[in-house]
Amino acid sequence: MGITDSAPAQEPAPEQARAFDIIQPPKGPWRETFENLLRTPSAVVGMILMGFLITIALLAPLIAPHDPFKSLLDIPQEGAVRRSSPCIHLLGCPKAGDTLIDISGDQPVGSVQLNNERLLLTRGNAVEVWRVENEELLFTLTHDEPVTAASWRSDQAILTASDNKLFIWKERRIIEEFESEDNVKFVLWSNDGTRFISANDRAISFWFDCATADFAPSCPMGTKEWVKEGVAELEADWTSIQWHSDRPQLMVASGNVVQLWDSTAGVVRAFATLEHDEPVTSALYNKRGTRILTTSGSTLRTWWAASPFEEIQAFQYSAPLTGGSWGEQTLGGREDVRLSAVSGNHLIVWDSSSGEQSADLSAGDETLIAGVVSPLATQYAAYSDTTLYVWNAADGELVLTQEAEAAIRNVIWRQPNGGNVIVHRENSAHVIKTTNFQYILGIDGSVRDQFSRLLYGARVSLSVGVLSVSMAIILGTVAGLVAGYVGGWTDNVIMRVMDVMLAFPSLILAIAVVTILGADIAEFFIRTIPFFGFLDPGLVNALIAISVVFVPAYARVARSGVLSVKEYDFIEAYRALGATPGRILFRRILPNVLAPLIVQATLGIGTAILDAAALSFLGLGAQPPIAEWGRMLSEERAQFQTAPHLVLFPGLAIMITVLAFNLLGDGLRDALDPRLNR
Amino acid sequence: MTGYILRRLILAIPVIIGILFFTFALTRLLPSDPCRQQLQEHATEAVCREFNRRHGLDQPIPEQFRRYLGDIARGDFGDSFEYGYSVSRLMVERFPRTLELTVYAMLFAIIVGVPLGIISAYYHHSAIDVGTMVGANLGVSMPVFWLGLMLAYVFGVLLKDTIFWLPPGGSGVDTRPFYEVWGLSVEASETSIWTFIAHMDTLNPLLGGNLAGFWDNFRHMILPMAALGTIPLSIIARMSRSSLLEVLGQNYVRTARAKGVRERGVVFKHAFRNAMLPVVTIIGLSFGSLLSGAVLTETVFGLSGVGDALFSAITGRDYTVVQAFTIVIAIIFVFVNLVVDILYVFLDPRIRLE
Repeated sequence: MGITDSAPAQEPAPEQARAFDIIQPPKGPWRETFENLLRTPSAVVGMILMGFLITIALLAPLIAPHDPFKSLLDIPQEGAVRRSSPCIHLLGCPKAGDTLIDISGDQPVGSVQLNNERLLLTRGNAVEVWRVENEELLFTLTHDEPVTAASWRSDQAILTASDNKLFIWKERRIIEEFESEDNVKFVLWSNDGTRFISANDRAISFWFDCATADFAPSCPMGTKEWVKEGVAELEADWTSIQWHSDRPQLMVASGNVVQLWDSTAGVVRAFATLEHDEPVTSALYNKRGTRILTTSGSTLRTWWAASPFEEIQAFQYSAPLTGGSWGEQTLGGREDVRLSAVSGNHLIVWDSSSGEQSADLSAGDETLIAGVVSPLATQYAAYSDTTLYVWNAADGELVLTQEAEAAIRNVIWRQPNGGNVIVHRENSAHVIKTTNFQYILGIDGSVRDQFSRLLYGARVSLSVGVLSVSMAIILGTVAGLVAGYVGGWTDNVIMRVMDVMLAFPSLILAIAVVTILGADIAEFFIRTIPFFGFLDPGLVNALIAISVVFVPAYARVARSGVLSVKEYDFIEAYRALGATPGRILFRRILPNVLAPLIVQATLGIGTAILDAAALSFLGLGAQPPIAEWGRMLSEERAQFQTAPHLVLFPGLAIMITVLAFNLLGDGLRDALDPRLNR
Repeated sequence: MTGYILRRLILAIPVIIGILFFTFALTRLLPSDPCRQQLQEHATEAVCREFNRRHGLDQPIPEQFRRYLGDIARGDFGDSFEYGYSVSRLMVERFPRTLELTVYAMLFAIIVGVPLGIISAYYHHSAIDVGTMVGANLGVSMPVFWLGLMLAYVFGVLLKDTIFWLPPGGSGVDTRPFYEVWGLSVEASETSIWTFIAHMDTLNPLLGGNLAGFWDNFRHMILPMAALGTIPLSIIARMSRSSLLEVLGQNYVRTARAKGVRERGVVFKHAFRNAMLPVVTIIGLSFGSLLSGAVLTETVFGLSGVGDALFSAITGRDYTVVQAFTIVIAIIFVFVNLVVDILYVFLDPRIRLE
């Protein structure tokens, strides 16, 4: 059955219709089509999917848990780990306290360091490097004797100390080997990697790379090797050593003083001393290396790290303080500096800008060893001999208490986004989740919530599909109607043009059209048609290209429809009544060719969505930060080996949407096809 | 029948001229200035006048079109801006790989698709039938590039260290040109047919007797082939199923059954050949989607074929390459459709009688 009442076959004589009424009430053609649709299972599935998608598209701002366009790091909230794995709620998402990664063994773990999502740990005679993301042992560097210290340079060169020797490893091979002083228990690369130190309790040796131009004057003639150039002798055992983040300066805390050593051009000298009344228990640079935090006795002090090397602030507490830590959050325009230290079973936090004590958190009966503020300063972690504690900064709530038999040696926040801590216990290293924040489908490379982006993507895809097909229908139908109705020369020209367009594979033609459409045309469309306002110029270009590609298909359908209808008597009758050709075309003929056009359009929307996604995938459609599924896929495609979920879900979304339109289109075709309507 | 083929050939000529005119119009009649487009900040007035003179852009439009047709008739597509050599040479380097990829994908689609369609028609309404049709519906709804990435993940990453592992990207080893292996002293210029064949990744080692090289190159082709072939496979499976079902409802099939032909005989002897007619059409039509898909598949798998060249030409605004490749692809598409139409004459005697 057709869906209009003007075709002659569907116009029963009035008497007949009335007689028919008694047996079965007449149904509107639309209603009949709809009932036919409901009888086709696949069409019902298509309609359900479509309703689901439209709901999502409309309600996206309400459902989306996060802003789809903004990096989660701009919002001070921890736990957003770049390209983190998805978490399906039904399968149980990790909560605070869950162990994400567990690296344990029989031998004691000497030290644990984190560098660019790789974990380096020393264990017995070996240095092991693990990839944190998937708990994979990348490689092991085996030594003949126990490894006493290790450090890791930004270019992945590893410095190790074992049996009075120092080794530099690169790509799993020893590239340098030196004799060192006895009992080296600490080694550390400078941040630029041109020098390092090795230290035992009382002496720190500086080593320089003679291949670097800076040191050439102080190196022996012609050597291209590493030389040990200066030794810093200390009066007491050191408590902390740290390189400055970009100057060749070393900070050493020992006894009552913090000394700053300069090593520019290979000359080692102490150039500043920060005097304290009581032994210094901890000392730390801040992130930018402008200030130093020290704890000594029951006072926490901050100092200028450059001239005049004076005390800036001093915070008093009622009991001795140890384990000082900086907490700096400077993202999103916030300048939030917190200072923390532990004392007995308390973690005390001061706000640097106001100079006030902002928290005094107690942790049961155990004596805390040190506290660490998370990278975004929204959480505090502290540990006693066997227990790990984590508090929320905002309300001081104790989120996590984790006790185990093995003693804790160190706790490090997972950089750069927090949300996890790495706990170094006697025989193991664990990554423990510290927040309850969850990201259902994971986080993409720009630290945006993928789930929210997928929801907003439904809006983009549906509107691109519908808009491009509408444009194509309008152009194609007018062309087809005119060609079919006027006939002759006009028909020939129009249809030959359409033939030529059909001769191009659709995507290739779309690509060609997009390349020649400049930004001007897209701007014009965005300015003149209000509905295009929320699309970006790239997407509008893609949309125009897709509609151009689709025009011939609709022109053909419309033309064949006109040809089959225009010879009927009722059209002739209207013409005889003096109706204008325009009126006949649009009021009498168009309704009769609507059915095939609707089928073609529904199927076409699916194809349009696929093509738009393909264009965006090739970088020709949507531009960042717009959440378009094809674009999302192409942005993460280089990482598909390590983060397949970021490729899987956008693709699934495209597939489901296209499937919905295909199923509905097939169903409509069956429902509207008179041949199948027996 | 010769008359029919001739008529079809003649009908293709206006379409090809239309294609040429269309691509010409795309690049020339638009407001953007090619000199400024290509030379960017170096485009001073004097430089542009010289540029326009050298490229004949100062001539009237009809004259430009005439020259353009002449160039193309001589096989001269101009020089690539990005590669620094002729587009013809670029085509000879890139086309063989795409040709192999599309042919393999098509073979894969036909070899798997047609039997699937027949089986699901034969066991109509069975679990196999429903499964195949659900699969086919999903297959046509999938983005090619996504399927490619997922296949690369499953076979290249998940199945690593198993015998099912397949290389997730790139092409295999370079093999010696077959004519050198044969000891032929042919004059293989950069655009000759010999070079064209020698650039075929799997045919060249096969001709040269290098089986290891063939296998390595073929292995690199398997995933792209599967990714590219899935959409035509789904279409072919759907088409052969519905077409066979329609034919099985015809009177002559009922007659065949009535005279006691076994069901297998009915399907394969009586129904199959007639049912395959629309399938042949759909195979020809799928070719266009294959060429479109090749652009995406090659980008995903890092195969340096036509699609890859076209893609980098687009991003690098290398208009000569875009224009030339678009023309060639469109013309190939027209000819494939022509071949399908002609094939139809052999398959359907009714057309011959017209």
